[in-house]
Amino acid sequence: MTRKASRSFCHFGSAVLIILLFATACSGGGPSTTLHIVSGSENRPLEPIIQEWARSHNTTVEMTYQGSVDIARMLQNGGASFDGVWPANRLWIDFGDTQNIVRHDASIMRSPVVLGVKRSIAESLGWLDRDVTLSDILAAAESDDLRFMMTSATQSNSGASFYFGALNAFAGSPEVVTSAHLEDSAVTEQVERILGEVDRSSGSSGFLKDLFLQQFDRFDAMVNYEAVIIETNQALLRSGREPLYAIYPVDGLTIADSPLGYIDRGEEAKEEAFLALQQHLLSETVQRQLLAQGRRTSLLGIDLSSADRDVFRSEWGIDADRVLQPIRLPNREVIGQALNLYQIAFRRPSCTIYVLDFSGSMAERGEADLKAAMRTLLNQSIAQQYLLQGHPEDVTQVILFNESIINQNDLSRWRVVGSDADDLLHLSRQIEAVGSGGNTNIFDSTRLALEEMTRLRTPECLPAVILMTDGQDNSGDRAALERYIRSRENDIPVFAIMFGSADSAQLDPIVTQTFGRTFDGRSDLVTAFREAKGYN
Amino acid sequence: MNNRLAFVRSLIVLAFAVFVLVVLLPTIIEQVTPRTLTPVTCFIGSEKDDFLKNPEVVRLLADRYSLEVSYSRVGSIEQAFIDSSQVDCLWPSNTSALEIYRSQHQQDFDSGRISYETIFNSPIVLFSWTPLVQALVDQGLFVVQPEGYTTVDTTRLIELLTRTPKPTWAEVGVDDLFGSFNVITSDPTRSNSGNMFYGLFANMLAGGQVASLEAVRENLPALRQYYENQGYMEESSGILFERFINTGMGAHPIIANYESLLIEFVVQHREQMDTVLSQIHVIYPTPTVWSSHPLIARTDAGKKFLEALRDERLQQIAWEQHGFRSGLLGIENDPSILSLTGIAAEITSVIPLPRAEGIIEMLDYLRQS
Repeated sequence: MTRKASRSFCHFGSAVLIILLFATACSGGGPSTTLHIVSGSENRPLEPIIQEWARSHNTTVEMTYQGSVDIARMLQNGGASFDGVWPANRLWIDFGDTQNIVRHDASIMRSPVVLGVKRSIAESLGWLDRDVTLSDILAAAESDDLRFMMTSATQSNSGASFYFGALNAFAGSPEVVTSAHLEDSAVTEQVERILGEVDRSSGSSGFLKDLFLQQFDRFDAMVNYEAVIIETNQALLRSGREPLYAIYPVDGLTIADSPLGYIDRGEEAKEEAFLALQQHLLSETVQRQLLAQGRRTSLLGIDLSSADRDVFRSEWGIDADRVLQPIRLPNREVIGQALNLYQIAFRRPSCTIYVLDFSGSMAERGEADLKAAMRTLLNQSIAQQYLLQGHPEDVTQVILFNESIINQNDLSRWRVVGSDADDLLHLSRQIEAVGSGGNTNIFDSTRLALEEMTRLRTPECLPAVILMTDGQDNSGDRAALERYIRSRENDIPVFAIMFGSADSAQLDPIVTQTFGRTFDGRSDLVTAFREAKGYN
Repeated sequence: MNNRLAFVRSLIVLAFAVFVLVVLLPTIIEQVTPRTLTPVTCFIGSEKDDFLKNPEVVRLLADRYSLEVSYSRVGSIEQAFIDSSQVDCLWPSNTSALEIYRSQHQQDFDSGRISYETIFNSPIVLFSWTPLVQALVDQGLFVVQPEGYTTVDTTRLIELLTRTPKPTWAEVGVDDLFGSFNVITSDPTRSNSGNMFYGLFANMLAGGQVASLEAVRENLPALRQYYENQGYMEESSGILFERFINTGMGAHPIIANYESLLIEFVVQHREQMDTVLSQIHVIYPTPTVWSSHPLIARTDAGKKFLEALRDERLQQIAWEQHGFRSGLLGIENDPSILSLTGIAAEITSVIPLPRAEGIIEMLDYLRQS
């Protein structure tokens, strides 16, 4: 080959290389696809499996965690901008998908809803290795032998499941619970009693587990999925604490089946990516991984014959040979009525103090959004759409702040006792009339709310402070607030809603110390308020 | 300089070559040999979704019959009522839908503008779990036939389901379960298999013969009582079957559904076939009802599709991979090909469903309950 020819060959070779590289880059799996999936919070520990798949498939998967009942409501309203739904039970897809937008739904794994009780307590109650009924649980709770937590039935599947179980049990285990049972005072009186024993609520099952671990000494038990009880026990063992014993109430058991469904909006690439992800989760390898994480994944039934007994431990109450017989759920209409009754009559009442930021920086969008959020919660016809209506024994207080507490001398005018729709609407209208201005004093207003709560709360109600702010405290006394929290029994959670340039470094310590939670309202303040209220 | 020029020249030539190869050539080839597939659009029941998505079915329809089928999944009864003017065919999974549709288009049926033929059949059967089946065989409710499949006398089954008070599981010999004996169906007001079981139920209440409109009316309260005791029911046959498989004997002791669903499931999990068949059993009600899948062809394209579905290979795929028995005369479905135990070679005891007017009246009545 001459030198010239060799050079030409080199040029040609380089050109081929560049074009090949270009072509490869262009065709490298095509453009990236994004899937936005809304899931029950009990699936959060599984996210690494999903993200690992996403990385190797040129796909972005964004996960949002919500209570399953909230997911149903979101579906009823068109599915927001989500591409996939992954509630804990198929019931919630059927209940919510009134517009027929969900396709390809398939159960990824199963898990019974159980009562995880500290083993020593279960033993002292004589519950090891015997059938336990809802009446046994009620009796133990009423004699103060059992302090338990469960999620809100109108937000989350595990709470709803336990509630349906209680309805079935106290109706005397009929073939199925009907509207007549919901009107029978002999049934509802017992249902109210057991719900009245719930010592702490939450909007989602995953958060309930975190809370249980944080407040281990304050509670004896929680209603949650068997899989979450296993995760909790693994964490408890790591920290040298006693594990929970799973109780499967014989007259009130349900099984979650975690269906993953696609929200069809006619986008082929998304559908393809969704199906590939679903197939991956159902593959033998991943199903084995899920089984190792405490989820039941056998091909048939909820059989545990191939499960690792170090995960599904018999000393944690998990009996692999037991036939689990869940209750038959009532029909859709009765389920709707039951959820409504839970909210307005059966649940423990809420004592809620809203601490609302009306500083100058709220003047633009924040003020209008805040007023809309409060309208959603206080206007009972809007609240009903989200099953967040008031209870006749609720107490609602509003505290307004900028650099000082705007309504400090007039607090009783900003309070509603009960659930009278006109009174709550009037409170909403008072808020509408407030204008923004001045600096921000988060610390003193939160301290006032906690002090007020000790005066306002009733023995029956579940207390919570919902603090919303868009900025940083520049006028309050942080040390005084922290001293106050430390000096008290500290069973009033503060739920903080961040907006605008709120500073999580200021809010997080308050939230952590009071065992509350932070909600990000920066993109959607109304939803954040709804969620926070769902935790109370 | 020259080097760079040569490089750029090579780059341009190569880029042009790639452009011709990737963009122009396929278009030219396509224009020289245009695809001549005839599009066919159809309403179908969702249970045939997997069959029509089967790559071999798609290829056979294209290669042998030049057809490309697209479809919308629409409930069987609904197909008969919604506007079908834009589709070439309807493919429900019961004859009630055909009957209703024919009553609305009688002239077109008489003149041959609309034609139909039953393509597939699948009997309504019961599915249950080994410990329960064994107990009920011991009690004599279920009977294992000499050929190896299991049957239940439908009259006796319905008598147990309508007895007041309903017998408990323990009373029928199943000690592992508490509560009352039951057969779970999909929601009959929303799903075809549930709907058909209620049709069979109505026939049994009418003395084991096809229930007339009057007989259906007379027995509506008994049907409603059974319906109301079911509580929450799944919206489709496929979902009910999935829940049965997934949640086990305690949650779904006995369900009524299409025979084809179990065959399709086993074929999809062939490597675990022995496990599946050692735990799940098919019980054939005697008599049972056929879920027939009549293809109603409205246009020439629809008629071509109907003709294509007579293809022996397509019928074979339908049976061997999707569990649909042939609805055509002269085609036999040999269960030994599937190597499945407990599948009946022939369904001999079949009763027609009540007429469509009776079914519609029953559905209206149940919806109001």
